[in-house]
Formats: sequence, C-alpha cells, structure tokens
Amino acid sequence: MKKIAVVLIIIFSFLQTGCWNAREIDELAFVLSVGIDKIDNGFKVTVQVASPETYGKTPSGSGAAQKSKPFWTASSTGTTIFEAIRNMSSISSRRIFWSHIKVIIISEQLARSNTLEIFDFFSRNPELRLRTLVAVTPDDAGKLLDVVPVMEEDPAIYLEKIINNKNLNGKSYSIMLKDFLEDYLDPNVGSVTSRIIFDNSQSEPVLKTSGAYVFDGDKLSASLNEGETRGLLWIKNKMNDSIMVVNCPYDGMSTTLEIKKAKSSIKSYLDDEVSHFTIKVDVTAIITEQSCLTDFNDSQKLNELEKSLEAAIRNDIHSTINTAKDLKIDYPGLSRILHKQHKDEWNQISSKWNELFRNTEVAIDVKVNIPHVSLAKPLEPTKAKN
Amino acid sequence: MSILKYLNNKGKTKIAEQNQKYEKKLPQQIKLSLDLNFNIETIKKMMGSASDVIVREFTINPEAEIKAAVILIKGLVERELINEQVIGALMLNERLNGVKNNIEFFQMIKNYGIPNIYVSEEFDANNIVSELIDGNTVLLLDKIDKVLIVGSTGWKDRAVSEPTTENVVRGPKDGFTENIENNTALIRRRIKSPDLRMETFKIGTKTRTMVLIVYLEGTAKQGIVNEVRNRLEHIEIDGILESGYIEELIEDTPLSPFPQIEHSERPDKVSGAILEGRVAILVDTTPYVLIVPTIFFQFVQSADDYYERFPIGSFTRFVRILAYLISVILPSMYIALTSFHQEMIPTTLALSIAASREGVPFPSIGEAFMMEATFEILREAGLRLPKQGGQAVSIVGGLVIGQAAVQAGIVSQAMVIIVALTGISSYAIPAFNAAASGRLIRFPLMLMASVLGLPGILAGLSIIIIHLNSLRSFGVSYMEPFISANKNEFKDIMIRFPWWGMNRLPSYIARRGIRRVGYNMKPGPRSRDNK
Repeated sequence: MKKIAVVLIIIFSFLQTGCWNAREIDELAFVLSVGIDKIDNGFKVTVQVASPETYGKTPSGSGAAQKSKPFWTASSTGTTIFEAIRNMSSISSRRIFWSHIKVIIISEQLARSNTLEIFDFFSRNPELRLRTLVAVTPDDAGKLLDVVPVMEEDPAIYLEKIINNKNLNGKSYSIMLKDFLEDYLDPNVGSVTSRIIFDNSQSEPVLKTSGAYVFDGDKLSASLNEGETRGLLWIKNKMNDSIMVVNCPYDGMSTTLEIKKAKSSIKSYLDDEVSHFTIKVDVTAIITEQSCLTDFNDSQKLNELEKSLEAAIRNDIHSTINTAKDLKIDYPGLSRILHKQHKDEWNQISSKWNELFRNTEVAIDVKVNIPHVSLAKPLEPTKAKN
Repeated sequence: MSILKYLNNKGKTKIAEQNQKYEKKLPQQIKLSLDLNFNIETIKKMMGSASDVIVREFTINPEAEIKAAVILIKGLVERELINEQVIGALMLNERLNGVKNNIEFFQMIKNYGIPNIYVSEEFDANNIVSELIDGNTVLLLDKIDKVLIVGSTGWKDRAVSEPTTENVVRGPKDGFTENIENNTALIRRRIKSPDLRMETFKIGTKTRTMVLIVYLEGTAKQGIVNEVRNRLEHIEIDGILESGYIEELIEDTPLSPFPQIEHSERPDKVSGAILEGRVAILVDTTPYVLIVPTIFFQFVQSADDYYERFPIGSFTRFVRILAYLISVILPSMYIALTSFHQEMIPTTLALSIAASREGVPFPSIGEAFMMEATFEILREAGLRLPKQGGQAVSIVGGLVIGQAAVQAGIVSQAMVIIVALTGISSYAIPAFNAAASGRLIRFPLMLMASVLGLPGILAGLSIIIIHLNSLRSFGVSYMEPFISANKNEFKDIMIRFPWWGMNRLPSYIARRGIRRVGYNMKPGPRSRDNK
C-alpha cells in the first residue's frame, strides 16, 4: 500500500508542477514582422500578426473571404520597447508570440537617433530569433506593415522574400540579426542593413528594396545607392546569380550578363601602419541578352566584353571603397580581414583604425571568364534584297 | 537484493508445495483383472460412463469362443480404420482359428493380427484411459489382464490453408494448423536434415497438451535448448489451450510491455528460425508456434524481406522501423510541439495547425487521448464484429472520426491526420504483439509530452531504451546485436544483406562460427570455375 501511495504521489506531483509554461498553439498571436517608429517620448511598436483564418483551408472558404485584410496590425506606445510591447496586451486577446518573426523594420528617423535599446531588446529576449532580417525604411515603419501583398498572405513573408531576392537584382542588401549584431558590436566595422521603400509607381502601392543603409556605431549614418550596394555585394562574395549590364565594346549598346559563379577573396599586408588590400574577384558569366550586333563567337571580341565587365565590376567596388573612406566607416569589413591575417600587427593599430582607414590602399583585381556564348548569334534583321 | 532473493525463494517454496499437492491427487496404479466384463466396467467407470465412450463386444474365434471388446471414444478415432484393421481383421483372420489358449492368442494378435503401425501392450488402467483420451483404441481379451492399444487417432481437421496473420506478397502460402502432427510435418518437409530434433512434453494436468521443442542439433546452442527444456518441465498448470499460456509461463520479464518470445503461424518463418539456431516450441491445438530466443529487431523482420531481392527487402524493413517509431512517438511529438515548442514548427505549418485548432475546446493532450481512444475502440470493435457487420463499423467509424468530429469542431484536422497516421503505422509492423507494445507505451509518452514537452519525451524514451537494454530472452540480450556490438552481426538488422553476404549465422543465437553460405558466393557474369 505504502509503495503504491509513494508512486501515486510522485506521479501526481509531476502533474501538479508541469504545464506551467504550456500554451496551446491556438492561444498565440504569431508576430511575423515588427516595425519600430520614434515618437516624442519613446517608441511606437507596430506588430503584424498572422491571422490563422488565412492559413486555414476550410472547405467552404467563406471565413477568409469576409475579412478585408488577411492579417492584423496593432501598434502601441511606450517609453521603452518592452513597455510598448506589454502595452499591446491591452488590445490583443492572444499572447504575443515572437518566435516566428521574420523581419524587423526600423524607421530611418529612429535609427538616426539611437538604436542601442532596440538591439538590446532583440538580442536579449530568448523568444526572438537571431535569424530575423533587419531593415530600415525612410518611411513610417508601421505603415509599411499595412501593405496588403497580392501574392503572399502576409507583408512579413512578402518582405522576407523580396529582401532575400538581393542576389537576383544585385541592387539591395540583406542581413540577419546575428550578422548585423556582429558588425554592430565591432567598434571598427560599420553595420549595413537593407533599405525598404514604398514604390508608388505601381497600380497599387508595393514595397521595394533599394540600396542599403550604413550604421556608424549605434546610429544610422548614410544610405548607399544601388551601385555602391553592388560593390559591397562583390566584396562580401554574395553576387552569385546576379546580373550586370555592360556596354558592348564596339557600338555602345547594352548587353546583359548573368553571373554564374563569383568568388572574391581579400589579401592584405601592412606596411608601417598603411594597410594594403588586394580584392580578387573571379567571375564566370554568360550572355543572357544582347542588343548589339557583335558576334562574340570571335574570341577577340569576347575578350573585349570580358574586359568591359571587369571594368564595370572594378568600378562598383571602387565606388564602395571610396564611399567608405569618405564616410570614415569601414562597412566593407576590411579591418576584420586584417585582424584575421595579421593578428599581432592588428592588435597594435586597432585603436587607431578609424583614422588609418582613410589611408588604406585597395587594389582590385577582377578576372572575368565567359566560357562560351553557345551557338546563338546576334539576331540580325534580314533585309529583303531587291 | 536480499529482499529480491527472499521473494524469489518464497515463490519457489510455494511451487514445491503445489507439486506435492498435485502428486497426492494422482491415483495409484490400477491393475486389470482377468475378467473381460470387469475390465470394461473399470475403464468405463474411470471415464465416468461418458456418453462418447463406445464399447463393442465381439467374439473372435467361433470355435474357441474368445470374447473380445474394443473401447474407443467417438469422434477421436477413425472409424474405418477400426472396422478394417481391428474388428474386421480379427473376425476374418483364418490363421487364428486353431488357437485355443488365450495368452498365445494375445501374442498372435499382437504380432500378426492387427495391420496397424502402432500396437502396444498396457496393463495399468490409468495409462489405458489416457491412451483412450489420446484417440487410440483399446482391445481387450477375455481372461487376459493386459490390453492392446491400437493407434487410431484421427479426427476432422482444418486443412492447411493460408495464414490469416503475417501476410506476405511473395512466399509460401501454407500455414500451421491446430494439428501438431501436421505442423511437425510442415517443418520436416522444409528441413530434411537428420539433425532436426523433436522432444515431446505433456503439459497441463487436465489437458495433457502435447508440446514439442524443435531445434537443429549442432546448430542451436546446447545451453539455450537446456534452458527451454528446463523451463517447460517446470510448468505446473491445469491446462494449455494456446501457446500464449506457455509464452507467459516461460518468458524472462513478465511485467515488461515488450514481448520477449516471438510467435508465428508461418512454417517458412519457423523453419528459418530453426536454421538460425533458434528453438521452436510447438503446441498442440494451436497454429501459433513460439520461437526462442527472440531479439527486438525480429519484430520488424518479415518473411518477405528474405524472398525479395535485398534492396527491396532492406527498404521495406526501413519503412517498418520508421512506422514503428511513428506509431510510438508521433502523437507525443505533436503534443509537445504544439503546446510547448511552437517555435520549432515551420511558420506556415504552425499557422495552419493553429488555424485547424481554432475553436477546438480541448487542449491538445485531451484531443489526442480522445481520438486515440476512439481509434482503439474502433479497432477492437472491428476485430470482434461478425464479418457481415465489419463494413458498417468502418463506415460509421470513418465518418465519426473524420468528417463529423472535425466539422463539429470537437477535434482539429491536424489531430485526425496524426491519429490516422499513427494507426496505420502500427499496422505496418508484422508482429501484432510488438505493435501492441508500441501502442501501450504511446500513452505514457503522450502524458510525459503534455507535462514536460520535448524533455518529457526524451525522458520517456530514455526509460524505454534503458528498459529494453535490460531485457533478456533465454540468456540472449533483447537488444542484440547492439549489446555485443560486433559489426558482422548487423547483417540482418537495419538492412538485410544479400544472401551471399550473410556469411555466418548470428553468433549470439547459434553456435559460434557456423557458416550459412559458402565462400565466394557473390554471383557475377564470370563463372566461379574459371577463376
């Protein structure tokens, strides 16, 4: 009897203490993206919560159709981020659940003042994931999350996909929170985020990625244009599958080249506090569109085309390096190369890096290889011979 | 430890006392007299004048007027055989005419009067009665205190037919029947080796059921055979109606949910086991044959694995292992993920699960228990129902479980999928008892998951694995070959090696070093002789 009683007590004590943090999946409000704006005395946090009805495939399908918006956005204010989030419980019936968050969007206005508190919150909270994408918008971050995407159910998934499309257009940047924080916490490296804008040229307003933003320490400092962003992508080895448009070597018409394989590597050496870098880029490209009449089956002419692509790439990287030097922000992360390759010397100069960076010598060595042009010849309009 | 020893000894003394009681009950030897009528009466009385005991009195030699009688039990004997080989043979045999002396006559009948294979003398009435019950016929002669027992066993039997369990796609279609002689013949037909040994036991004080152990001398380990013999000899029970009685009385850990003895009604499977050095235990009146020793992975092996080419056999075995894992873990995994670790589910899936649970009034553990219970009830009802009604159950059950419950908002669609998948998976395991053990341990795991989430499942699985590793079956570890961890023994576990690669018999069962296939058996376009 005694034994049975002991076993029962053990089992029941299990049942009593357990489940304290159990919560059913349907009691949660899944936050998919969050926008943070600045207000006079604190923050305005806007969360975009997925609406389960949108994802439920009811046979009748009437439930989803009645709602005008397939998701829910709610905003609240507070002097700190967490206060603002907790204030949200006064308007949300379900517990706000952060683990599935895709994108954090910060308004440029806020990013230019102070971002320490934001990133402290997002890196401290265990419910938040470090794989979240970070973006900054010049517009109102809360309004951005209200855009109803046509092809996706949620603006968050829409944003995630367009940000990750960076390697298709080569004109924007994407970064996860974990990589962003690594740069953010490094006193010698400036961090870079994606830049999201409204595109009003379409029939209905859509979101668009364009260029990137550079942080200097904890404050946003400047924006990069699309060319400078592409240079950064070249340096960071993220240009696979992208395209480049170059002029034909003979008649100045444009030709589009798709980058099949791109590999960049950086070598460095120190010469009495002047650091030298050699950025080596190896590219394999193919011609995907050609409007000039040059027949590139001729290896001589193909060589010319390769040269002009090399020049274009060199140009991009140059502009990126020059901007960095002008801004005095090492956002390409050259200091980290130095740190890796010359550890001892780096330890001596690391405190002075921000001044030394301006004098850095960067050599750019680009090799382009267009392995074949297939059998396609330029289309030539045939004239009727009389 | 001392407590265990005490309990152990306590049990043993009890058995000894019981034995003494049984022995007292056994009647002493009863000798027959010289009077025919008295003998008939004695035997009849011992049988309690049962209505199915038939006595036919007749006179053999008209001149000498030798009175005789046959006693038999209706239904257990072949009537034709008695008519022709006993009564007919004696009445019409002219060579017997000249004999006057009854004793001489008795010997003559024994030697050339009865054209039957099995004829023996008997004088103890107890033995006579037990022979009678076995279906043999007793021939009594006047003025003789001995009888002749004539083998005449023969009753209506189910013919050899396809086994109803353990279906295979490719393989022999015969199955064991309730007749043990038939069953031994089915094994003999497959293993035509003189080394095949069969030993008989009579178990059950009332049923006196014939139990046979069958093994290959020289292949099976002597220790295992001795152990089986020992355990069978120690059984004291009033009756054995099915091999399950024996299984429960000789297994190593009776309180474990996992079966430690495999059973099969496929002669090919049992023969395969005997060839591997295992011992088969055949029980009369049941088609299910026990196979010892048993390891855990035997339950995911099917006869098909060995008949199909090895890639297919290995693949189907892999599917079965997967199905077993699903049937044990899936519901608890679902509960843990949806009520504790929502961050581990991919976003879109999490949202559709959330959507399907929208409006369901129960927590996921309640929902799961309800659905699993419903499924178990349906399964049980489907088994018990008369064949004509089976379809109705499946239609109503399918509708109740699936459509209606979801539409009424009592359970979520996701849970229906989980329960259905779990149920189907448990059917993929060929051994019913192993599948049932999986179903048994599923419920505690579900509870653990609902209380502690994934750590709970981990704890539960750890306990199960520790338990599995502690099990033994007739001296062989249940989790072999993972215990001995010899890489040569893994050829028939996760993947089924081709026959030309399975060189030796598993050494944890059979004697060490016995080859199964010859050297260089890997076939190829080059003939072996040309090498």
